[in-house]
Amino acid sequence: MIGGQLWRIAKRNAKRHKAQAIAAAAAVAVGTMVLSASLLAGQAAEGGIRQVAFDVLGQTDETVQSEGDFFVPEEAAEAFTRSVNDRRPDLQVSPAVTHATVARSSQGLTEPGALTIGYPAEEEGFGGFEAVEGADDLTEGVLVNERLADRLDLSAGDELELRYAPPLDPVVPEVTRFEGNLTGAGSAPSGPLDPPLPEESSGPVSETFTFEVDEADERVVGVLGWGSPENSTDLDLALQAPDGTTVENTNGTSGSPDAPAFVNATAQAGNWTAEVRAEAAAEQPFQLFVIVLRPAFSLEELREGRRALADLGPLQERLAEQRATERETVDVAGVVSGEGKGGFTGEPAVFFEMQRLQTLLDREDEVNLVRVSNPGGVREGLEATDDVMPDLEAALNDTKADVDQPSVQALSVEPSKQAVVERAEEAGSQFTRFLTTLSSFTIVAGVLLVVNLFTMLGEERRVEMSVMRALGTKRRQLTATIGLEGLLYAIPGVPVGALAGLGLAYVLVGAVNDFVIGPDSLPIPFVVDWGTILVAAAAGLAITMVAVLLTGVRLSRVNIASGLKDRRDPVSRDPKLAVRATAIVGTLAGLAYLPTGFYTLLVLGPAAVIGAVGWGLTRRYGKRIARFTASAPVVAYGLWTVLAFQDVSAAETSYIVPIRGVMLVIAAVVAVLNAPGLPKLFKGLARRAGRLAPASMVALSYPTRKQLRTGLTASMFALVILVLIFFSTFFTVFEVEPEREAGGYDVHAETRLPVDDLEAWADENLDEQPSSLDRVASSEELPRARIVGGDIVEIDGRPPEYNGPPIDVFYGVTPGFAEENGYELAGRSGTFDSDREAYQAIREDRSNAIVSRVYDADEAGRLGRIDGGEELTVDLGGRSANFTVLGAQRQQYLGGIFVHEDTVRELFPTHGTSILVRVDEGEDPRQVARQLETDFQDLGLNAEDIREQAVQTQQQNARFYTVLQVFLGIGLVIGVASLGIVTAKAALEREQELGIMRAMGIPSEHVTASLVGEALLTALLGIIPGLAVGVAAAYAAFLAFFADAGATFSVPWTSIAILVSISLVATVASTIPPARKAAEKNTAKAVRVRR
Amino acid sequence: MTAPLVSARGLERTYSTEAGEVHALRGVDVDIDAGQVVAILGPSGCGKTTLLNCLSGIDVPTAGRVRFDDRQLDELADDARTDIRSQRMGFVFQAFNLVQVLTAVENVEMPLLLDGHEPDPTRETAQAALDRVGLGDRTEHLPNQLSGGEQQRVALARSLVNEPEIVWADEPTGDLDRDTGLRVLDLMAELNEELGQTYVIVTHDDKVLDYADRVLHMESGKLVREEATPG
Ligand SMILES: Nc1ncnc2c1ncn2[C@@H]1O[C@H](COP(=O)(O)OP(=O)(O)OP(=O)(O)O)[C@@H](O)[C@H]1O
Ligand SMILES: [Mg+2]
Repeated sequence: MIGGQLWRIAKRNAKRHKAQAIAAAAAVAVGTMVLSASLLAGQAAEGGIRQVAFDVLGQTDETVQSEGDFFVPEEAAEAFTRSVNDRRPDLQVSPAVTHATVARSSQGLTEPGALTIGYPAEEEGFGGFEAVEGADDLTEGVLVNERLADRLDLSAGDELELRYAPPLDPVVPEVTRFEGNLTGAGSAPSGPLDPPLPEESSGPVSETFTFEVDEADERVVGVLGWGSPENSTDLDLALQAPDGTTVENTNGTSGSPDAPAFVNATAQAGNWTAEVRAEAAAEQPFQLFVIVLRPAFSLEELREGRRALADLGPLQERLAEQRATERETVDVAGVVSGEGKGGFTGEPAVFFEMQRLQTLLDREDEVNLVRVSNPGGVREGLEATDDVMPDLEAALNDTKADVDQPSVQALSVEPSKQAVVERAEEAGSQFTRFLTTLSSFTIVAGVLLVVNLFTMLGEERRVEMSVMRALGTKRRQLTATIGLEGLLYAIPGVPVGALAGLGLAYVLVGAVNDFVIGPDSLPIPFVVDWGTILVAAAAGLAITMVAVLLTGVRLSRVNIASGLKDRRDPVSRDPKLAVRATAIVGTLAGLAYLPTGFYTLLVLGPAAVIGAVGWGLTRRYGKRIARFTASAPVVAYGLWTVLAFQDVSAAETSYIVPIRGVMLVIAAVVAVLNAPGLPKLFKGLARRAGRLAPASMVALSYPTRKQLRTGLTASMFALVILVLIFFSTFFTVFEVEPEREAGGYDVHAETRLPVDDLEAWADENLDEQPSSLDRVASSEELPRARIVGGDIVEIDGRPPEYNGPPIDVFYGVTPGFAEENGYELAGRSGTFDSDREAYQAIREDRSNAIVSRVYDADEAGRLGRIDGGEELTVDLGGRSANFTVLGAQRQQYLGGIFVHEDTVRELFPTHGTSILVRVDEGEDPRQVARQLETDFQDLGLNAEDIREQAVQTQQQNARFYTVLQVFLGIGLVIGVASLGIVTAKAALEREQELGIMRAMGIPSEHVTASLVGEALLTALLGIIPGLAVGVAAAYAAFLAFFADAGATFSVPWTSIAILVSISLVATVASTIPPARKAAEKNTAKAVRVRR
Repeated sequence: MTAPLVSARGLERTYSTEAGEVHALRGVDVDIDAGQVVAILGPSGCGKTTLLNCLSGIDVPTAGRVRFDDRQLDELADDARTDIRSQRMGFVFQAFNLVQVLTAVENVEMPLLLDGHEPDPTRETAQAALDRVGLGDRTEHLPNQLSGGEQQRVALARSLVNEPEIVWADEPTGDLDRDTGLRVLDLMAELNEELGQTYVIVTHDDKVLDYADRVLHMESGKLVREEATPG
């Protein structure tokens, strides 16, 4: 059997070259490993986020709620349930109540971001709690999830204090303005009025106005204003409800517009009258505002209402209802795991029996969430979502018709689990893409090594193969032998690599958890997916076999005659045909860009044409010049495309980067190898090396003469160096500068509660003035709202590219912040002369906004997208608010959108506060931050030293980059190891030549030095172009992506020096043993060898 | 009478292999005078190469003594023997004599550079040596751009460039056709005449008889016969 014969030959050959077999298998393994690790880590990220979705949502597949989680009557939830059951009896529907709270343990540990959740005591289809400790049933008492228990160090039986603001129904004012003029009667009161009121008057003493109030309205407020400040008044106001009851204000005598007469009544449907009576006899023009507060569940309405209110000026404060913080202490009956019911929303949570929570929140018979569970378990349920959604929507429409209340009209159905899972997939595939893009460089390096090894093998076996061909072996049989040998290396390499990838992925995911996600968030769980490992293995095998077989096809084209004589083919083939073909294919590829829009074609096509033109010069100027003129312009063109083609899509980026990288590297290596004058320069240097001259000449001549081998090895090195240099250079752009992040402030503190002034809050709510405030020079309280969305904000019609979870934060600009903040702008609308003016324009016009750096990137990750003048849209569920962006900040610490403070309050009724603090001179911001946290525990204040935080972020980034660099650096191992192998191989091949050199009297140390020097030179021939192209490409990318954002570019020379030193030292270390072995070989034996 | 340049007594060389011991030299006594052309003849496997290697210090005998001029080669360390080879000996092998990536002239100048000569005059000397072997116009060619005979002539140029006292040639014509081989041998004879170099040529080609001053016949590791030729 010819097959068996070929297999035997392949096996013998592999056995004959053990080191080489090991190297080839190792290269295959490393390539497969990085591939498998990339896929697995991406998969873990995806699976992890998806797992979080399953953990967090449990059996819940869809939810019904309104933005702002407003409460609706329980009857609405019941109506919805009935309606769903009519349509889809297989679905489970159950209501719930959620509300934010600050939780505090008896030891004083505080969790500001806790959630109270109320579930019906009995419900079907949503699973139960899984007890970690104590009770697992709500009928037994209050349960907490592990997350909260961990943070507050809680166990069953502990006391837990909750502090929360009771949920308010959102209301909007409807303002009606009346005017009148009373002259009054009677005697003027004594007082400091100047001029004093006249004694007598003949005008009307009272006026009445009527207005109507709807059923849904909540409150009626009458506010009496003055016509003009000079006119002193003494007017009374009375509101009469339809049922005849009256509320009055009879001491509207203060005579100042700042303290108007004010009347507040509970609403009743029907006709109301307002009566204004003059007590003093004087001309008293007045204005009467009748304000009817009506519930509104649409954010747009809320926004308009707040505007109407703002027009009332100082009056609005009289309307604001104080949100007093309630306190409640509960006993923890049990700690439950954070999965399913116990993990809902993923926050640290306290679970109540629903009625108890309703009572606590003063929301009897009201809920603010309805959960729907599809048939099937946690995972299968998801599949039914698309099918179920229309039914749920129809059911909700029925409910809206049924229960005609504004709060019900605001409800909508969300495919919650599907949304999170889709986001997980997006995030996972982004991460996978990123890693595979990086690892493709290592994979190509591995492929180059395999090709190199097989090319060397082929050279070595030229005679043998020629003999086989002469004896009648077919070309494809030769190719098959080579393929089989490749398979022999792949058989151990692929599975070992795929499995090692598992370990590497584990390390990567661990690193991402440690450095990127941080200890406060749910870590990505590591999942072992054998399917993925199999895919990686199959890909590794396929890539190896394609590389080997292509090499095999080339090798099998051995010229029998010259092969038998073991001489090179005397004349090189005329490249004319190939040149023309390349030029034509290149032109076609370039043109194909037009219909397809693939930039990759526009990179490769013209590069091929440029290369072909240069190559075409072979005839006239010889090979070296032709190779140089073919390659050097390609390098220049390739770098130019980095700069020029900026609109490459994210998907295309993942392959254009490695493809262009490989192109640049190979072209650069060829250009350097064929640089005019290089061999002359080398030889000139070598000849001057004294007694080492012969050895040096040999060392310096081999790399430029044996271009294929040198080029492959050097390219492998160059590729790895390129990515390493590119990334370490690129990363310098992301350096976080503490001063820039601080913007003149020292401490940033956050609370989930609205605080207008920290000191005033302390006066009101704390028994004594907290000592931390003595160390604070000033504080700026910005209302702050955080929304998890993903497609809520758009800038010029495109959603921002988030560098993390899609969370939008709105910060309200206060006068003090506008006046004093030092947050420099990178892009600024041309209408402003200074950053300050831009900040002040936010105060002047509420449609203005400034964004932080987080929003400054486009989909390609390019910074400097914001120039000023962009339109920013906030989509809040069918309703939207529009802003004009005035500029983008350079800071990224407060990642968000800065708008007028009142806008934040309007858009987000349940907002929190960001407090920017300047500490007194000489105070340590860190200590002040800590003390603020202690003093303001009741606010659940979270404070940190901004600069320290920036430094930490920087360190975290640096650590993550280090992990990535190590990941990329694995490729270097291939490079170095392959140099060792190539040296061993070269030594073996040249045994006789080395022997003759030794016989001629060249000392063995010189021979060793010659071989090591040759390897070093090969490494340098890779390192130098790799380094140059890496830095140049990073600079081009910087110009394209970040220069606009005012970022600075610097080359990390120290890390480059370290990297280069490591590479060179490793090269020497890996080549000395084979070199020495060859040099010290018995000369008599060596000279005998006949190739 | 002056002492011979090379003198060997009781040379034995035994190779140990897995298949047993191979006695390649079984007690060889030989003296080579300066200025002679000595040919070593014998059937394949009789130990010619082994003898040449032992005499030139490439190999060390298992037993017996080898003296080169005033140095006892069998007692010297490898480094010392290496120095002697570089300074006082030249070599021509059957094939692949040259470093493949160096041009003809670079190959020729190697011995000079190795001796620490200045690079510039070296180039001229090497050029002159190539002129002498009739390859003055092929100096910049690489070995694989030269024919087998031309390559051997380059090797000859290399072996004379630093004017060594003795040139060891192991089947220098073995890979060449008859005519080319003769031309190479002619050249060696001429150089011997001109420069007074000693040539020790191993061959199993009996045309060497026409050129040699002495012909040593070997068989099974022993010198069996010697004939002086009119030369
Ligand atoms: N390294 C070695 N190990 C074992 N045996 C060897 C070794 N080198 C040579 N021999 C054996 O020693 C004997 C002499 O070999 P040598 O090469 O000196 O012969 P030769 O006369 O030069 O032959 P040829 O004319 O074929 O070149 C042979 O039998 C050979 O097989
Ligand atoms: Mg279900």
